[in-house]
Amino acid sequence: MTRPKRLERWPALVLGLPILALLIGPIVALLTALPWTTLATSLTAPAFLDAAGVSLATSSTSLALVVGLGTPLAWWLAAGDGPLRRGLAFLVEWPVVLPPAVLGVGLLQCFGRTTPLGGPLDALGLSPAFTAGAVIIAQTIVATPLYVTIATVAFRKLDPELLLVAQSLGHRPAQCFWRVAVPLSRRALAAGATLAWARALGEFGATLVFAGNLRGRTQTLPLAVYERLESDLDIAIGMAAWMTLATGALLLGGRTLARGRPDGAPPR
Amino acid sequence: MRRAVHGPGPKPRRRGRCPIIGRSIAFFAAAGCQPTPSAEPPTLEILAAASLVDALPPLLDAFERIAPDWRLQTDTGGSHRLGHQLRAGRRADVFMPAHPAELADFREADGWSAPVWYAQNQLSIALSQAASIADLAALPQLERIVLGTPGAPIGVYTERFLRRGQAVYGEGWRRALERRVVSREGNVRRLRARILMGEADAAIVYRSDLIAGHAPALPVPEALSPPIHYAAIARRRPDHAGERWLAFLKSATAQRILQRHGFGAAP
Repeated sequence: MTRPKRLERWPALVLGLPILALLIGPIVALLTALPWTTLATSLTAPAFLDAAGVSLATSSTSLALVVGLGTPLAWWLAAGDGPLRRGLAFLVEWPVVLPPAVLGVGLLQCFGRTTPLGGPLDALGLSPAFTAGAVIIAQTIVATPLYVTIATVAFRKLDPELLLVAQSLGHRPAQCFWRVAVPLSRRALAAGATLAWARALGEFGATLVFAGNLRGRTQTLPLAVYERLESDLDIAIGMAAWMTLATGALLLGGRTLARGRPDGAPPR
Repeated sequence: MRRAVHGPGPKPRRRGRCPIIGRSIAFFAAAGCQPTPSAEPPTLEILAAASLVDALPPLLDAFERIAPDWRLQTDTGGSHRLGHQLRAGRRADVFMPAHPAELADFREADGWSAPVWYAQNQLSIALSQAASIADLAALPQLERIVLGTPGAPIGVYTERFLRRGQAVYGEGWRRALERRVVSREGNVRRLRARILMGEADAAIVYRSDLIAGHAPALPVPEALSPPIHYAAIARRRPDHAGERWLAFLKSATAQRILQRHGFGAAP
């Protein structure tokens, strides 16, 4: 019996070309809209620096929250496939498909001054609305699903025997997590964190609705691009191009990290 | 942003009184009521400032009674954004921004009519239920104040008001007030929404945005409010549809509707 010929797939690529062009079009347009000199000077525009500062501070805090709290959650989610875990995994992913503006309205309804939770918080002076805290909350919500989903998959791929061996050598459960599971999954966790960071940097809708828009306090880069569109087109396009490059670099980093063989995978 | 279609065929359902949700429902309601494409009725597309969002539906109703065969499409939002779209090539027949400066780029040589001045407005301070201040001097005592972005007409007028207020109440008043600003919004209706949701204590809006019987307000003295005049332009077409709308805006019917919504009479 002869081996079947390799399946021809190039017609499928031809059919996919229009959508590829559509995906790439805006990115190429953004990166080529301005001469590089203008792009370089836009880096020093005060509005850009303010927004970049807010974006960096909030998104790195969000990232710390996502990784710090999401890793244990993923570790627990990866332990089985029962109805409770599946239900919670569903809830974790839900924000991904929620329109960001809808999420913003939800956050206002949850933390707003006139709500059961927001009222007492406001009385204590802890109301998050219109603060950098609100930006961080919005970013954390949109970034967590990405990270937790990737981390859960990574933990599921771990060789269960390695964990058993660790236990039999006297490791307590927490040590198994810290000393075995996390180090063995570090590439996937780093990839997830990189993507989560990019997502947090790009958050727009929920931030605009929930955190408001104030330069130097809650105006992140995407909000600054949106506001500058109305006054200074060149700076808006400049900021947009830099954001395109930055998020592209993060995505590339995440993909490179994810492509390597997960260190904890059982050898073939 | 709101887009609605009026005209022959089943009429779109009027949106309810719910101020925030009603907007978005109107969009979906409009999608389901395209008239049958038998004899294509003349269409008039109107881009209007966010501050006109409540006055526009009754204006459209009244105009429909004069010109029942026409299909009227409206899109309301920040004047600056709408102007930007027009400059970028958006086809629309009528432009009704909240600041006449937005009209500067659309000249008669390019096929636009001369501006028609049809209404006036005034600045006002919308307050939340909880906020109680006696006068403007006390405005910086409130904790959360929201203003328009510098590019939006409401932001431009607000800046002028702040400059005049500074001359009266002192530089410290302005600095204290600006320290209380928690957000800048791209159009006046979003400022209004912050008050309606109870998230802000005060918003500098137009008198026409005040919510009758809902929230307290502080009038801005005439001496401090910059003059706010509304002008509209129309693209010249063979059927003079746009010019007819502009003439309608000056009619007694339209003026009555505008004044019922808090606008001042045409200058």
